[in-house]
Amino acid sequence: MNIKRWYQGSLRRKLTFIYSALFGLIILLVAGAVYFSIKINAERSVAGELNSSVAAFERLWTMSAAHMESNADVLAADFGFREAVATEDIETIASAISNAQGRLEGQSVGVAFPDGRFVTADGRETQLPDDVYQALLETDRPSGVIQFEDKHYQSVAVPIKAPTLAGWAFFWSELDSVRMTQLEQLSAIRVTAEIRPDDRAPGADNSFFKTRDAIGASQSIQSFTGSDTVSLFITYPMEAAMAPYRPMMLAILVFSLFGAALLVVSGGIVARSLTRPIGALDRAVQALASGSRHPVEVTTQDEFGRLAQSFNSMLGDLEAREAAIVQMSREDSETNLANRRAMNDDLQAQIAAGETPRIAVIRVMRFRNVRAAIGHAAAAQALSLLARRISAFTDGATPYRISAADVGLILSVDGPFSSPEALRRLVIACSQPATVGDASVDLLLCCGVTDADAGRGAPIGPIDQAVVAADFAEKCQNAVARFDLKEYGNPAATLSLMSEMLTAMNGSGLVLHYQPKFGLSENCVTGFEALIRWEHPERGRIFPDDFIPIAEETGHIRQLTEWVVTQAIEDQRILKLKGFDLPISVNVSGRQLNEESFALWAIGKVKSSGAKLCFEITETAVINDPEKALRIINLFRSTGIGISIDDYGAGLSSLSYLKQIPANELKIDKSFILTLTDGPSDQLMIKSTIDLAHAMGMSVVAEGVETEQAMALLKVMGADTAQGYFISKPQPLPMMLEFLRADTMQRESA
Amino acid sequence: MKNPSKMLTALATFLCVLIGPATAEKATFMVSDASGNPVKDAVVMVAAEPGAPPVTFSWPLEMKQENLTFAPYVLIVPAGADVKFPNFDKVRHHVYSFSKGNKFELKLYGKDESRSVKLEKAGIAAIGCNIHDTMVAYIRVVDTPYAAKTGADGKVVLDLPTSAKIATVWHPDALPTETKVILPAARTVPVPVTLKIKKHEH
Repeated sequence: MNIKRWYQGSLRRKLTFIYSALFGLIILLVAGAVYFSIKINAERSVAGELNSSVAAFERLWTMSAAHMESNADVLAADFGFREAVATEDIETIASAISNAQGRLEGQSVGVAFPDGRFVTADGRETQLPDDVYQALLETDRPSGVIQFEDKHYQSVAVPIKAPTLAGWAFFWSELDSVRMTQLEQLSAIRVTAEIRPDDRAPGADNSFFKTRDAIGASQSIQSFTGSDTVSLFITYPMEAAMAPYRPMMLAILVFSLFGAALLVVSGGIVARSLTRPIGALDRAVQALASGSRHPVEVTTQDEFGRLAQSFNSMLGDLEAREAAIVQMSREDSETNLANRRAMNDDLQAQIAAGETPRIAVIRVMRFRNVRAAIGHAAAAQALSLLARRISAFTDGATPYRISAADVGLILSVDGPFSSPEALRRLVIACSQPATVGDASVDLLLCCGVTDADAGRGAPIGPIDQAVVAADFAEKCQNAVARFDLKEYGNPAATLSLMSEMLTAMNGSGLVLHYQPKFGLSENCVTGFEALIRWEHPERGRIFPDDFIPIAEETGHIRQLTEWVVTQAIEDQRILKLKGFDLPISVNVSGRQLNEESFALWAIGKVKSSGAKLCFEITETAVINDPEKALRIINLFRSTGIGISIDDYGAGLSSLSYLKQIPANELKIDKSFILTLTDGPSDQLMIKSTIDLAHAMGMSVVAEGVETEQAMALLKVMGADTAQGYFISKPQPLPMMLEFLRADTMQRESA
Repeated sequence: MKNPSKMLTALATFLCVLIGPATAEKATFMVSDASGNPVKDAVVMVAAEPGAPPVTFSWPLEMKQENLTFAPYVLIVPAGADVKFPNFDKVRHHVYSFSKGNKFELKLYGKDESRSVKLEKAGIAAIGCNIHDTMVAYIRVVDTPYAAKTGADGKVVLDLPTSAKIATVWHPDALPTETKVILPAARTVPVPVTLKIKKHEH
């Protein structure tokens, strides 16, 4: 469809084509009309001529018949002839006939006797054809055309009376080519005359007919015998009819073609002049679309000119608006200070120019609180004030408001304001309270700084580095802090770690190890704690402390916990099959205690599998939303899941929480157990803790049992369960099974 | 007396009638056409047997030309008789006949002139006038005394011998011109003859 595209792609082509097509069509119609009217005219005039030819023929026919008849009458009246015929004197008859024939050009004579015998000029006697004889008998003076041996003859017959019928005098003349030629010559137009049998329906008298290339008229000729139908056909070739008009039609054709060519050319010219301004406009718009701005030349006063003017003014508006937008994009809407984008642009410009500036971010600490206290508008005003101060201090450096609480600066490395000392002074100087409206607002500032080239290769840009540095300064409560790549770490790597963790969950990277809990009174293993181990294909073993806190931050802890629960249930089933029906403890973070959906899921899992599980939680786990957490804990307890308070004694402890949490087990943190053998005060503390736990209805697990001594002591103190390296380090399930078997065997043999 | 021969013939006939045998009988013929109309000028003939009386007729043996017409239309003459052709018209006539055996020509002769022609052959002589195409008549040349023509009433009476069995009826305009009629034994009743007459070509 290239043609279609070619045609539609240009107005000029369209116009030219349309004009030409239209004109072509008109010419065609006119030529067609002319041709047809000429043809009809020619036919009509030919028909007229044919008509007169036919009429002439009729006249001639009648005249020639009359002529022959009168000749025949003359002969038939001759006494001597009559005598010869009446007496059947063949010789005399023949000589009289030939004499008559000699007198008459083109006519032949014969005598027929009443019995049908026929005598010709050569004296020969023949018999008349039957139908001719019948005609003689039936008609008085028969006249008409006789068809004999493929030739046609005009004939007349008159009776010879002497005094009664003695015979007939027969006159005929052949309708030969000479006759036809004579007839043809009578016509004004060159016709072809022909006499031939007519097998058309009777009544087709004097009718017009048309063949493929001729027009003609026919006239039926009276037959001598009244039986045959013979007609005269006069035809005129259409070619000849149209011939005189051919030059005219040729002239029309030539002029039409010429006119069409002229029109195509002139149409093209006109179209081009019309569409040139459109083309210019079109090009300008295309240029605009691709980014370049070219006003259109205004050449005319008409619609195109006005269009061009409008376009140009629009272009101007566009430029102005674009400038405004660019301007706006560089401004912070609240304070009209330059914004982060502006800072970035300016920084990039300086870097591109080969400079290595220093970037400082001055943060208003606890800005959110300030804003909550005095309102957005006032807070913004305060920040504006600060920015002015900073700018004034740094001799007019441009302050950029890069976020709500941060003001950025681009300083030159060698400048007077870029050293840490100078920045410290800046911080102190600008920390004066700001007056907003009637109130005075305290501004506590810190500053993060980085060099444009220092952090090259860092995962974040220089401005972000400065912001991170400011975060650090805020955290450490320092006035100024520098960006430290190591300190920052590699959060991106951390994120990828999480996705790797998820992959490991699906694969075999993550595995549960089990550390047995040894019942001190039962003297055997009474349960297990499930611990995650991660063998990373590239990084090697990654410890839970390295990824669990991150998982808690990102929310992946949920999936992890679910995986652990599922895995633990499965492993417990295996253990049960092997004959060891022991509960498994799983660590659950505080976040899960705030998710009802997790609770329901876990409960469902436990119920459907009939597993014996215990959830180990820390006290601080409930801090976030105590009510909800306790509700969920109670839910777990009601379905038979054990609750164990983990790391008791380390970190924050709250007796009130201890009271509320319906735990059935308390795990004393290993830091206490490790120092157990050091002195009585530790032992006393542990003893009282055990008593306290027992008093509250909880059994006690001592973590970090590494010596026999410690274990013995704990047993004496009343601890219920011991867990530690002395019993076993955490091992994968198959090895734990081995351990259990060995242990069982040992006990049985003992 | 104009025609002494006529007189003689009449006398002879009378004598024949007187002395003739009583075997002659009168027979009446009624000739009519297909529509029942009487036919005039129909010639009834019976062939003569040896011993028949000589052929003579009572009527004059002449073909007149008056009022540019031949009269009578049909004339019966004995073979070998002289037939007169008197012209009573003011104009001349050129009388002719090309009939076989009786061919003759009487070139232009005028009023009050007469010619005569001997017609030898028994048969039909069609008479015409070269000048006047409409003048046509017929002379029936017979060789039997038993011949007569019908009158306007279509009737004719003939004295025929009892031995006569077949009669021939001839009329120039009949189709066919000759018809044979079988004579009944009893001659009391007229013999009816029906001829098909074609249109007169006069």
